Amino acid sequence: MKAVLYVLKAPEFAPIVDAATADGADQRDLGDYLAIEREGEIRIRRVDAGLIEAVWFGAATGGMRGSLTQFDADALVITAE
Amino acid sequence: MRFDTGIDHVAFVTFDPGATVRFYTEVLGAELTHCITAKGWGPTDYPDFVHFFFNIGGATNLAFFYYFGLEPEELPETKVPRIARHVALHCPTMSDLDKWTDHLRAQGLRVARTEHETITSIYFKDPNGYQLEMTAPNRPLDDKDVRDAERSIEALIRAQAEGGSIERMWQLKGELVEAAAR
Repeated sequence: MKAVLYVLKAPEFAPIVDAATADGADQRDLGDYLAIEREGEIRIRRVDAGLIEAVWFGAATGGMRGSLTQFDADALVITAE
Repeated sequence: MRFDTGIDHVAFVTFDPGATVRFYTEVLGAELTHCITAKGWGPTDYPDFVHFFFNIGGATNLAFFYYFGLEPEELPETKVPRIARHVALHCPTMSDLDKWTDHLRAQGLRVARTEHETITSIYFKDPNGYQLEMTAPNRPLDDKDVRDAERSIEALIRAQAEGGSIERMWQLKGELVEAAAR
């Protein structure tokens, strides 16, 4: 099963897409959003995304498929169910 | 300096986001323009929240906070920081915000600055201790932001009906995003 993170195509969220794809996640175009997909889990470290706090803590605003196994100041981890 | 560019938003706490959206969009005809959802960044006891905005003309918006786990009988005045209920003054450009930052600091005020998703804000207190915000847009909002806000609110209403968390809201949002793309 794949974990999925949906990211609105807005400039403030672009670093999330960059960090996830650099880590090997796939992208799927969904119009207003990019779906970031990976078998097992998606793991994004905040230091890799380099995001300001306001955007980081709202990083899943576009939605997700899977469970949040970690989401704190260090990392966002979505695990496939 | 003279501040003369009006109010950007006034913010309140809501316990019923569904009724709130219906009232402001259907009764008042305001547009839902933006919705922020965040986990772990709110007040200590209620860190997961949704913050959404209705444009009521020009640059002026009414804004609401929904806090996961905050019950109506727990008065927001006592349970959440004063920042939840606040007035934000509007600066048309970042340059205006910079000038006001310098001006207020020159007057001896403590001014904190925070970059948000689509706006950048400074925060300071009036002599009564009331929190004031002054804010300038990072970028203009567009139709995509409106559609995203509508999906976030729909997901929030469904999650709230299930007694769910912000995690559940984000899962439901994902389903709505997938369905919209089909």
